[in-house]
Amino acid sequence: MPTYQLTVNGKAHTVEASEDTPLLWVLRDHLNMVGTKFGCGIAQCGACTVHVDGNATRSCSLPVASAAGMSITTIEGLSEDGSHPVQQAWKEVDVPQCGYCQAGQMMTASAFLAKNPSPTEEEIKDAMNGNICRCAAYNRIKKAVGVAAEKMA
Amino acid sequence: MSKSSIQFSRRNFLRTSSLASGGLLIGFNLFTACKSDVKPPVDLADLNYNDFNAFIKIAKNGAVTIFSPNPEIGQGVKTSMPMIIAEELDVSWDNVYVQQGVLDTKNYTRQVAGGSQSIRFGWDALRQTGATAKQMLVNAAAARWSVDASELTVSEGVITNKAGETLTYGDVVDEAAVLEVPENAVLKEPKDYKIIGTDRRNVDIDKIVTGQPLFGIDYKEEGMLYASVLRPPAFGQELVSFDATEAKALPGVVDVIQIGDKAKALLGGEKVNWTAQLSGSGKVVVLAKTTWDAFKGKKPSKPFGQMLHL
Repeated sequence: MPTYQLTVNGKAHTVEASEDTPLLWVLRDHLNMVGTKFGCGIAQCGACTVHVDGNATRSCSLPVASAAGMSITTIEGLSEDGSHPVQQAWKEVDVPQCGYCQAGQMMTASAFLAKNPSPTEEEIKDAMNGNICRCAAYNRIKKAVGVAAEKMA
Repeated sequence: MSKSSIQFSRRNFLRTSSLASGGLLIGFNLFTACKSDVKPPVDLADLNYNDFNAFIKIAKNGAVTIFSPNPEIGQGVKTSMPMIIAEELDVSWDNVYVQQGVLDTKNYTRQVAGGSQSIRFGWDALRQTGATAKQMLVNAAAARWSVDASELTVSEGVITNKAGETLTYGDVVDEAAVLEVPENAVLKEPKDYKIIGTDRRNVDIDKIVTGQPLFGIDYKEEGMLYASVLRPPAFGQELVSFDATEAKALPGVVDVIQIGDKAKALLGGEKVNWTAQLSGSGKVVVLAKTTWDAFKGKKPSKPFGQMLHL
């Protein structure tokens, strides 16, 4: 089985996995980083979102072979101590209900705000449109992205 | 809302013990009366959800830990049920820690969430438990000061007498643990609520925003396998046969088994349950070393098995 060099949250890892293994399962099963969640497995729900070279990416549909050598950031590495403005905003607004989709929501939000630090409400809605929340915490998600943007200003 | 007594037998819903490590342990039942012959354990490792389905620990430093058996599935019971106890116990919400009761299917039969019942049926018992525990602590303080308990006031875990002297809950937990469980505990008036009716953060918020293990799918055990279930594609279809040769040859796949016979055997019988009704068909399960291996084992190049339309 081939081996791959991955940089996750700034740390180098060597993993042995078949080349079609999605990054999601390498993170969860091989590296025991379970913050990134499995939702649909077909890049339709956003629960598995991580940053690959700063871009919000669906890890369930990215083969490990394509992720090798790139800089990957997961929810565990968004900040060292939960102090990223998006994490702070999520706590302040008390966004989660069950919380299962929220790692993906926060990774999408943080990648978006890095590119657009002062978004309009419409831009927030567009950016978060691909992340599904079965609890329907959408209003709080939208609010928290705005709160995070204010914190980053 | 009233100060009137509640409907179930107060004598039989709550019992206490002194913890070996110090502090007071209260065992109580949310939906049923306690058995007459059991006491909560003196060691937390021995919590038994058959005897009591919920527990409260009050430590000597005043910290309150609430062990709740009801599963949190996003409905918020891991936050809201302890809020009700903390309200009547009259402690600061900041001193309350919530711990999920262990999964104990052998001893505990109603460890489920469903039908929006947790608060509806827990409301009286949770309030009464908090109020009774508070009364025990007040009685212990009254005994220490040799005064009548009615002369004492409580706010956020601090008991004050007429002279203005104070004792914290932690100061009197050991004495309270050996007192009789009082039957005259008085519930708060809603106008005096400080916690119920207020907005409190999800007790798991820190874990959620930092991606710490919290959900069933996050559970890890050394050497564990991952299973993926192949179900008939439509309701009412039945598995006739399957050929696991190709799946078993895949790297990482450890075994392929069939399940569903037990549920099927229940169908048509007197004791058929809803689980069997919903899943009374044969299913193929791929067991593998990683989730991806198990997923791949479900998708061989040739049709896996034959499904029969019933």
